[in-house]
Amino acid sequence: MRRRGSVARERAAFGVIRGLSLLTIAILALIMGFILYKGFRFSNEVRGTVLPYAERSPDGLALVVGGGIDLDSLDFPVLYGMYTDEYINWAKISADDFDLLPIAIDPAKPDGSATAKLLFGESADPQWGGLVKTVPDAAAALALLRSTPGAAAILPVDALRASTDTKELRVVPIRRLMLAANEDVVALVDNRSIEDLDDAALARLMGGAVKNWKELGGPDLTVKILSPPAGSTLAAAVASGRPLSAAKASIAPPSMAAYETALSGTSGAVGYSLAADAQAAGLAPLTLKTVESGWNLTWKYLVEAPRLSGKVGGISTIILNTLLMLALTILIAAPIGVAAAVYLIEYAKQGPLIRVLRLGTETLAGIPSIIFGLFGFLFFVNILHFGFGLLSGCLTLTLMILPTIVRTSEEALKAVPRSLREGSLALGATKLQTVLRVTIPAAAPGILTGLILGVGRAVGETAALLFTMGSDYKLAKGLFSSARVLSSHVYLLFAEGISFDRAFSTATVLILVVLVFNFAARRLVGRMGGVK
Amino acid sequence: MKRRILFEKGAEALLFACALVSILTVVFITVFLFQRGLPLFAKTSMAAFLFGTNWEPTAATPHYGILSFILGSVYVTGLSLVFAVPVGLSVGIYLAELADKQASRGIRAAVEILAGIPSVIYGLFGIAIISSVTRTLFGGSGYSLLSASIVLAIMTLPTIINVTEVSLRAVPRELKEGSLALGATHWQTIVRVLVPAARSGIIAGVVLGMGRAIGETMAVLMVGGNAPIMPSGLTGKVRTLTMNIITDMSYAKGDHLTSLFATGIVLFVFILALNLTVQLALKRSISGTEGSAGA
Amino acid sequence: MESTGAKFDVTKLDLWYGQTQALNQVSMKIEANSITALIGPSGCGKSTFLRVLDRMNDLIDGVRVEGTVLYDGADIFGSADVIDLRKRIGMVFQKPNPFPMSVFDNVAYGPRVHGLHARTAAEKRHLSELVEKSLVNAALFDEVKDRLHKSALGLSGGQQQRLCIARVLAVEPDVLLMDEPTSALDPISTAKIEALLDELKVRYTIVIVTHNMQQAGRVSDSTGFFLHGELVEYAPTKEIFFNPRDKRTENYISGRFG
Repeated sequence: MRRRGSVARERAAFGVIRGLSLLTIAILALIMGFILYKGFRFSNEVRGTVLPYAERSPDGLALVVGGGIDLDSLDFPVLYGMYTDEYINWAKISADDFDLLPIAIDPAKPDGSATAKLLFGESADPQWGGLVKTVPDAAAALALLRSTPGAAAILPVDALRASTDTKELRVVPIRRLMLAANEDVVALVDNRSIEDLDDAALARLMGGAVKNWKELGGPDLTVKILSPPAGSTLAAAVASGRPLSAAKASIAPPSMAAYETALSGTSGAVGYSLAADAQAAGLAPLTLKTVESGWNLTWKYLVEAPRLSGKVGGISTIILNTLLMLALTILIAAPIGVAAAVYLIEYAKQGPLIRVLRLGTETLAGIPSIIFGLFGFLFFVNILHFGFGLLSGCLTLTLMILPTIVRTSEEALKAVPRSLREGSLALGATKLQTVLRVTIPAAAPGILTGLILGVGRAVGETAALLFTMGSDYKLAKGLFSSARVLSSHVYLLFAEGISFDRAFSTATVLILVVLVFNFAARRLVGRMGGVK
Repeated sequence: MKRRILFEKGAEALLFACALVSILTVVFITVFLFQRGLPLFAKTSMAAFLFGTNWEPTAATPHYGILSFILGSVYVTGLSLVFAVPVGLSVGIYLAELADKQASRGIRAAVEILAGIPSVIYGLFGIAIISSVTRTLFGGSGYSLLSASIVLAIMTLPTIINVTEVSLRAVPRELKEGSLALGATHWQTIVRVLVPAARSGIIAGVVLGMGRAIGETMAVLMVGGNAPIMPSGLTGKVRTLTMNIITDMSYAKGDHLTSLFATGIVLFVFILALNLTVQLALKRSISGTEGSAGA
Repeated sequence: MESTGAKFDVTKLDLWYGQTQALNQVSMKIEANSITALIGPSGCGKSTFLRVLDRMNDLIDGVRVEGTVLYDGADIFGSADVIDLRKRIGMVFQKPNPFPMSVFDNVAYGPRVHGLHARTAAEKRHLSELVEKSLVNAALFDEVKDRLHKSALGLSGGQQQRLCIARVLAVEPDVLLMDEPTSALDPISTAKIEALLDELKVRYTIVIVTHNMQQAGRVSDSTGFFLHGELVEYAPTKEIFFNPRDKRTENYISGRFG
């Protein structure tokens, strides 16, 4: 009986051990999977006031841009900003590197007045920005669109359809529907205010399931839903946008003016509104929370240069800087490291002095990279006046990976059979000839493995680089030019709060690079095993 | 012939120079670190530096007390070992004694990849997953001693696993067979014979992992919270020695910079002590088991 | 034996590895264009002696040598250049040690390190002729002519050993030292190499260490018997085998120890 108990206990113990072992694989899978997933796909909560229903032709108009602009749809506030000088180039709108040229048809013309209405609503006097270029008609706008990259125009859809050559152009749907509420709904009452509405809350609210704003965290007010007046632009937009189930309205004002008055005058009132009208009428928009997702790590991200601290653009220069850094580091570290190993194995008398030195290097091999960083920062950057740059960074890295290279090269050289050296020497080759032509080639796979391991360590290093290599994300122009590499880009994107998504995308590239190095090293080790 | 001999001698001298460079740089860094850090103690006493809890390097009357960071490093490292050692030991035992070829190949590959992941990526992972998990489970900001320890535990696992496996494999077969021949079960053999015989090797692995953990910068920087205060419990923010150096490095001047080098010295002494322990432990394990030096 | 035709004249040679004496007062004259076999039990000093002749012991730390070794009348430890010495005295090792490169590069290695650069077409032709000749002389050419540029590590053990012989021949030495060249080989390969030795003897002086007494009997003209670092007996092979003068030689030959 006791025996059976102990057998069961042992099996349990083995089970736990096996489980923990699988846990390591699970942890790895989690890390890799998570980083890769976040690196390739982004999925973010976006807070905004417009509802996620884009109209291709709001009020029979269309926003048209050149084909070079990478834009799928646009929120109304951005469109408004484009025509009021808030934006002067596309960088913050679509991450394209063009100056912005907003085009509008002369407001005096019928087509032009529609544009003004779309942008500035019914009642207000238009606030055209100084950048806006007015043209007499749609044809002129189209001509300007084709000739100017970075131009955008608001045109009647009919004029666009009539035009024969629209290949290079693209219509950008606009999101302009929003929810406006009476001011007492969004006001801060007893330290409580309405929370951001997500899709579910929105559906409940407009479906009539919410009776009191309390239920959404707001003030103690009855919800009163307004329905847009029949035949109005708003009603058309709501119908065409097919937003949530038709609002169960408790109030139905007859005209737009009455609708707006009702919204601003009725306690607890809420209703759809066009962004332009709401802005003009000073209605309080409800903040909505939506989840945006899409591809993160695109080809474009790899081949474009970063701009605005990496907020827009890609990481091409950073990848190139990383390659430059690796090449330079290898160029410095490999000859010194391999030569040192050759000396230690082939020339040095294997006495106690060498043993002490080896013990010393091995003991000191554990120096954390931050110490190398501190050293490099003061010695290379400040004392030698190399400044933040490739050279300082690579020298620091060299110091860091030299022990690895020396040690693996030593092992590789030691593994070369004596008989090969003797064979060469017996043919009358000198020691140097023997080393260069026989020993090093025979040890090459092992030496190369060491180099790759060293480089693999260098490519992932951040702490030692941050204050030696600098953080300029432009392509390094010389040895003394500050250069940002993948690992520091990952950190800085996070630390400067620029973009989590982009940090993950860059991290994915970094992981892939490291994996390639790992794989190469393993292949080499495998080949070495075959030769022996 | 004379030219050839001259050439050979020249080449040897060049090789010697390279060997000297690669060895002396390490010595140079050490000397440099001390030379730059020690002057701090002319300004402030060593006791005030090591046991002071006041880190106000830029105040009118600056204080350079790093006790909170020493304790931060010690706590974070210690806690990470609490997580990493049981798992690492188990996996090491599994690889050395239990796993079939396929399983061990898979796990070994995973461990190898884990070891190669850059620390900044561990940091990113830590922020995105570990911080939010600890925040949800234990409250607080999520940027805490606990989060930092968990990230470090994952980072030190590969070291502990590898050294444990190698030490277990270095135990002579006869010991294992002797135990099994006496009727001991596999489990008993592992627990009572193999692990004790590989003890010093395993300890060396743990200490080695400890060295890695205490010297790690980026990952803990990203998840530790980096508040220059005494660590206040598991969910409190923490700043370690390494974080202290990298945080202030960008703008430190004069005595402040010197104090960072002094922080570096403390870190260095920690690492040196740990690595010497490893060397001694490994030496003992080699002479103790007469196995091959795998690590 | 007359001193006139001697290739090597070794007098009172002592050799120490650190504190251990490996050779003790060895004196021996080796005739040109003959095959001299060195036999004896393991650790008797025969290989050490062989390695003295082209100063391969220089490579080992803590080796001390006393006595004189004259090669063509010149002291090899004197002012002679060790590189030059090794060029003229080729050595074939116990285990085949082809370099991890192609068959061709293995044979061309020696000429190349001695300054034969194949830069011009004429030089290239010269080098490949030299390689081919060496391979032919080592009785290997027919077997490898189709794979000259493939790795030498793909050859069989016997082929590898003949490649090593070809590699030595390409340097155009006048002495071949062979340290148990067939001990790692199968009987067929061994027979091929023994046949080769007989051909090579016309042009080269050959000293071969072997622990295979039949081999010594088959191939050599003279045989020296080493025991505990001493040269016990050195005589024409027939005499050693059929009429040994020393009791210890007789015991060894008849297989009573060793």
